[in-house]
Amino acid sequence: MSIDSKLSLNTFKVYKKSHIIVDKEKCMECIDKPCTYCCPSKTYNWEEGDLIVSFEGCVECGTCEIVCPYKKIRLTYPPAGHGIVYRYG
Amino acid sequence: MVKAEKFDAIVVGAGPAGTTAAYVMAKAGLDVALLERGDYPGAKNMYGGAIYRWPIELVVPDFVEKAPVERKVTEHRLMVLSKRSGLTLSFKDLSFAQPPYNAFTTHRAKFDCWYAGLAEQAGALLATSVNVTDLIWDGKKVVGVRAGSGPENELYSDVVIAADGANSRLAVKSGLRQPLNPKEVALGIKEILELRSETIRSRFNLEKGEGVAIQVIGATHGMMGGGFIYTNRNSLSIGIVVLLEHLIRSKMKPYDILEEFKCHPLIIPLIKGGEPKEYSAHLVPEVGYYGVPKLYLDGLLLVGDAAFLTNSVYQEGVNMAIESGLYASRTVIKAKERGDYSSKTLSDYERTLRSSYLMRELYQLRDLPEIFESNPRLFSLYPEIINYVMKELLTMDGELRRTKLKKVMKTIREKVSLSNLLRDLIKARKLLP
Repeated sequence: MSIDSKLSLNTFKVYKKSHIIVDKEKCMECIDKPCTYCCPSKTYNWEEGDLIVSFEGCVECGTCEIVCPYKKIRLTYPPAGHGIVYRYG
Repeated sequence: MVKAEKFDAIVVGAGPAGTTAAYVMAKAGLDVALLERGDYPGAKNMYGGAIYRWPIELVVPDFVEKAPVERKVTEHRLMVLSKRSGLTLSFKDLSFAQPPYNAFTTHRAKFDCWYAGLAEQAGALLATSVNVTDLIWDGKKVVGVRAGSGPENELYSDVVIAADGANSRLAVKSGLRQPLNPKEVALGIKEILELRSETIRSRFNLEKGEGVAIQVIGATHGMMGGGFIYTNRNSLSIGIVVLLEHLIRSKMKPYDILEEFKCHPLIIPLIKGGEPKEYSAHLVPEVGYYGVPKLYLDGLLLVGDAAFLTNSVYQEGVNMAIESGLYASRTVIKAKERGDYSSKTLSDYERTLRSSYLMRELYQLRDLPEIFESNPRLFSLYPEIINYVMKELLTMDGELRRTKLKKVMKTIREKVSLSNLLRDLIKARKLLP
């Protein structure tokens, strides 16, 4: 089961603007880019020399902030009433 | 100018820690605001799967009849897996199926909602969809919280209880806590698989209402952590937990590890036919006893995950949250009586907590985070060896068992040096009570 199908099970109230702020200044020199594989929602993808942030499927766990070796990711929460809504949890 | 409404206490986060605190304070007649970021309490929360009776019973004596319990946990299993085999230990006690019970499974979206409802009934003001972003200070004293910009989003109180979880923004902003580093936090991810109640009962050998909690070692590619399965009424909770530092090093994706776990030949028959319903993730602080920070300032207390109160060995998160929320509320009630919310009075909370049952348990395991982190043998080599030994001893192929035993010992010595083995055994002793 792919991560996309997993995420499609969830209820998200997506806000129009991203709640994730990345300072991409260090991404180029970041060798492993742990955000691209540690994030359980596959929010971060390295495509053609740029870090693409698909914030829509973010489950707001905070892993990205901690694994970024340069501490350049800031997960602010989606505005009140938005983001992941667990029905089971 | 109209003076803004002021509460006795503002609790940030309606999880088990915050709700416990709000409920007990409201019952004692305090003016309490319970603020929750999610649409409803539990909307942002997830956990492995089970809550023990003891801590919550201290707060709600008759909770079993009222709480949205899925199943009473009557059996605990430990599975030690290698690639194609597994050793399972199971313990079941019939008294666990009788009142007062021992532990139960529940969905957090339901449980947290129900629990916060109790706080509301007791008189606490529950406000959902409120995103608290900062503390309000008066000099060195915390006097309220901010939930957005502008004075209309400021709320004031004599004391703020930060129950805003593993990622607690308030704890970091207060200066009591540093941001987490990958060594001291694990990632847990989980899927809910829907299955018919009768299927769960027959598959796991359960009587009506009974449930099983399964911990799995050897499913994480040697990373500190493990797998788990909990039975709910009509679903299974299946997931894995891995230390972030090890995940970074492994370059593996957490959901790939979960898929692999779900495809293990011994796990497949347990979850077969389960229809995926939800996928969730959450951080688990694993700082251990020495990592628990100072828990109070003038006008501020930290509880639950925000205070790093988790026991990773025995999967105590919710239980510690409830116990800490209880002690925090008692301290605030005392502070209100004295009219003194300074750190001098609030330090009572930390003193009580540190002599509490769950903290003393954590103290017993104080050296473990270090042992686990620095030991690659524990989570892959030993599970492999255990399975290898079992297979050798149980396979009849014409070779004498005595010869086999010699062969087995030789192989073990090749894989792990005697000094390492002894060292690990001595360390393992610390796991025991």
